[in-house]
Amino acid sequence: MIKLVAQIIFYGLVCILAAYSVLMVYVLLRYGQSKTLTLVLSGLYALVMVTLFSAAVANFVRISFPEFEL
Amino acid sequence: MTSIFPGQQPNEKIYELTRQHWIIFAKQIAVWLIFVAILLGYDGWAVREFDFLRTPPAERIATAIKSLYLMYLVAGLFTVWILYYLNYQIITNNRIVDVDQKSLLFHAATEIHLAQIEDVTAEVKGFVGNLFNYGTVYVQTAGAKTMFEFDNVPDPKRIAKLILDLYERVPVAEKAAAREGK
Repeated sequence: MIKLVAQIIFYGLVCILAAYSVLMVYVLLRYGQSKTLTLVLSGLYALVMVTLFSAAVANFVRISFPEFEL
Repeated sequence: MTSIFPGQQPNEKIYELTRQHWIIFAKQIAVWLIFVAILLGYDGWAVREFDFLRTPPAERIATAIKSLYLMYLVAGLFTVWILYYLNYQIITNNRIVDVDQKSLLFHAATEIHLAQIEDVTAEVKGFVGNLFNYGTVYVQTAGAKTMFEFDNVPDPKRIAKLILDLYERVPVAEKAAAREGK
């Protein structure tokens, strides 16, 4: 149960961040003056985020949650 | 000719594209760094102070939370840069365009023809403003939006002078027509 709640919170936060990131890239593509700059920065941003996400998930799955029976 | 902004005319020459002074961006980065300091504080002080934080389970939980927190920090940094980059003003031989990105979902572009200008004022205030030479340019207009503001732009006196010089080049007939249209 605790594990489920933790997973919902963790992946929920990641999903919110992913949606916000897509919004940022869209706004930059739509209103930015240089598409090249937008794509380069978005690529770098995606690279950093994927790296951090990998580290977060790698540590999260190794966390042992206590089991409680309802 | 490659257009720099939407609606740019083929014969329109851009004299200035200005954003807020870099010191404003630096101030926002400084606020962002406060949130980074929380992470550094955890690693530099909390881990040393509390023994239980050095156990493997606590380290795994801390690393997972730190990585997630860093992801949000990077997103925050990107947001700060986007809002700085997408707020700009353009001065052409025909008009002034003010592009405001107040938030990710709030975009406003206002333009006025040079003939509608009634008054231009450059303002530099405060110690930092005078040190780094940035301030606000107020453009009083005859249009629907009566006051244009170029907030925290570098060298506001030069920009005000540029606008006035370009205004002087507008034909008298156009200026009269703009005043009558008011």
